[in-house]
Amino acid sequence: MPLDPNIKIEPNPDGNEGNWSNMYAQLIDKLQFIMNSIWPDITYAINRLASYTANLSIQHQTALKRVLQYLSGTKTYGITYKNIPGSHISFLGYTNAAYKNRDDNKLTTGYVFIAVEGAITWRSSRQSMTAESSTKAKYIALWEAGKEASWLRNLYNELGFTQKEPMVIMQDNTGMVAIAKNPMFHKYTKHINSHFHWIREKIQDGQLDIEICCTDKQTADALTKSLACPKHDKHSKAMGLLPV
Amino acid sequence: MEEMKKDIHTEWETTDMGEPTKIVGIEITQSPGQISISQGKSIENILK
Repeated sequence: MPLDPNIKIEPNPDGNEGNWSNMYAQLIDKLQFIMNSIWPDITYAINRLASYTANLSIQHQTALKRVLQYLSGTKTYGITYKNIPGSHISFLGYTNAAYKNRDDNKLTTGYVFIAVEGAITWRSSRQSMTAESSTKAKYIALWEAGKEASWLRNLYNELGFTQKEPMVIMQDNTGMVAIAKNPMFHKYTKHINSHFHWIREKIQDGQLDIEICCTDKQTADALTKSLACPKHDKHSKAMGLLPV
Repeated sequence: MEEMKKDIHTEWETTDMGEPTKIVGIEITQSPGQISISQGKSIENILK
């Protein structure tokens, strides 16, 4: 896996030494380009490491080397899209948000959309606001994924693959699904900014549906935290990353 | 597809280079019923 889940990445305690940083920044730049083309599985690692570019320690350089080693081992891999004859042409989304993975108390949003057995669009980014509960953070992540799904739906329609069924986004948080599907007044949701409830509107219009999946099958986890080997491999496979 | 190619060709000067194999560093492999995209070359360049 690109990032070791057992090692906690911390900001440099000694301040900037400024010796390696240029090379580090250049490498991050190149890796950011490739992660957006076919490597959803290193997106989280690169984003995380990129946030330390201005103030490096040996730990970050070692972590980056690990990503390079991972890539060297998987360079023959690629995303394979398989056409299943007779199946409905559509896409499936996974979204999640993770807590406690960052040193600044901000959460990471992750989403990935899978079509014809390969990842077509993905994102891993830091949430700009501090969410006080993981349910709220996941709700924000769902909102971001919902926007992407809406765009994808329009794109599919434009290309002639009319989407009549609601688009499905998988989630592993039952509380959040309740907030999204039930517009009842909840004590815990009154402070959530109303623009996030755009999601409810989409669900009521029948354009979007949220389904619960078990944590094991939550592919978006690969975009929100560093995972141990078997899980990471499983999620990469689910995103269509296989030896070509 | 062929018609579209013809339409484009009448409007502009074009050359048909066949199936794409590479675009912005992404290698494309096609086989019946599936398309794979990989990036071995770019990774080798980074690792150098």
